[in-house]
Amino acid sequence: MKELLEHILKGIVKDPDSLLVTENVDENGNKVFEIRASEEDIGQIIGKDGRTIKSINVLLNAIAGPDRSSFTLKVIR
Amino acid sequence: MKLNTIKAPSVEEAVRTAISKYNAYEDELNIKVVEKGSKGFLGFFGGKEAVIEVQLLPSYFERKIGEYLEGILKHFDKDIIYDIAIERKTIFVNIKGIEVSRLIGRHGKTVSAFQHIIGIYANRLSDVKLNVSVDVGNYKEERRQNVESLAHKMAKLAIQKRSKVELEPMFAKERRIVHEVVSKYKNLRSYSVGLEPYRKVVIEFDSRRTNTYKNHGRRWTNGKQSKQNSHRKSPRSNTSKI
Repeated sequence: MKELLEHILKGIVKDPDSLLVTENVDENGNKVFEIRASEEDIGQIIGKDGRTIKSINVLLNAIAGPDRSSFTLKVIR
Repeated sequence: MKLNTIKAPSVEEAVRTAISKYNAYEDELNIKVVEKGSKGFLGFFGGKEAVIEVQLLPSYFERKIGEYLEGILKHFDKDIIYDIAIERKTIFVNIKGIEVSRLIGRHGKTVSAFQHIIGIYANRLSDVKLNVSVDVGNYKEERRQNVESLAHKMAKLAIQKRSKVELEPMFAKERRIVHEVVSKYKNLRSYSVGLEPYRKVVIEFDSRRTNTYKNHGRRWTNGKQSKQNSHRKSPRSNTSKI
């Protein structure tokens, strides 16, 4: 899952080297993917009205299938 | 699709730079030598740089997008095939397989997500705006046909009832299809009401009376405007007299 997320993100950012995805667990026990990228790429990752990050979320959910554990995506500045 | 100039001490080196820069094969590039370049005296004085113009060919985009898609789809546990076709500035991606319903999503949500992400990726490769159209298991084509036949049905209902018919909320693209269908009917007009994502089409029976009412309203504003204009003009005409 993390690998897939990284692959998708690397295709859309300008500077793939500064991209960093970390997997964490929040206080409720849910999976959280934290995305860090260069300043100008953050806007690209989120997209207009959050469209891009939503699309990524939709794709991850579709590909991981119904028996996946739930997760959240976090873009961190 | 993309034209770039690259400078290097020799033509061969420039070509090599281009290949490594775009991560492309030589046959995916259209290379035009602008300046051959020369070593100059003893390789130090008066040397000229070689300049080439590089254009990326459609096969490059096809391969790149294919690789990107492959990287996404390999995480999907079902067998899937896809093909990519490029026509001018539009890239058509078609994903097929036995169990692709999961890749379509509710109301084609996943299809739109694919299209959006691949669109960004394709435009990252090119500096000319490229359109990307993704279809999964013929979903889009079938949906278009469904919306079209629904629009025809509702249009006929509106004529029969001689009033207006409200349709279910639809996406902008689907509403557009409905408007196109309705525009072919002579005495019907259509418009959309509501806010996204609940915006919906209304098909209205358009009798002659509604037309005259509209004209009447327009004439009133015109009259008001011309009155204002004449008022504004009056001091100017005074100055011309002097």
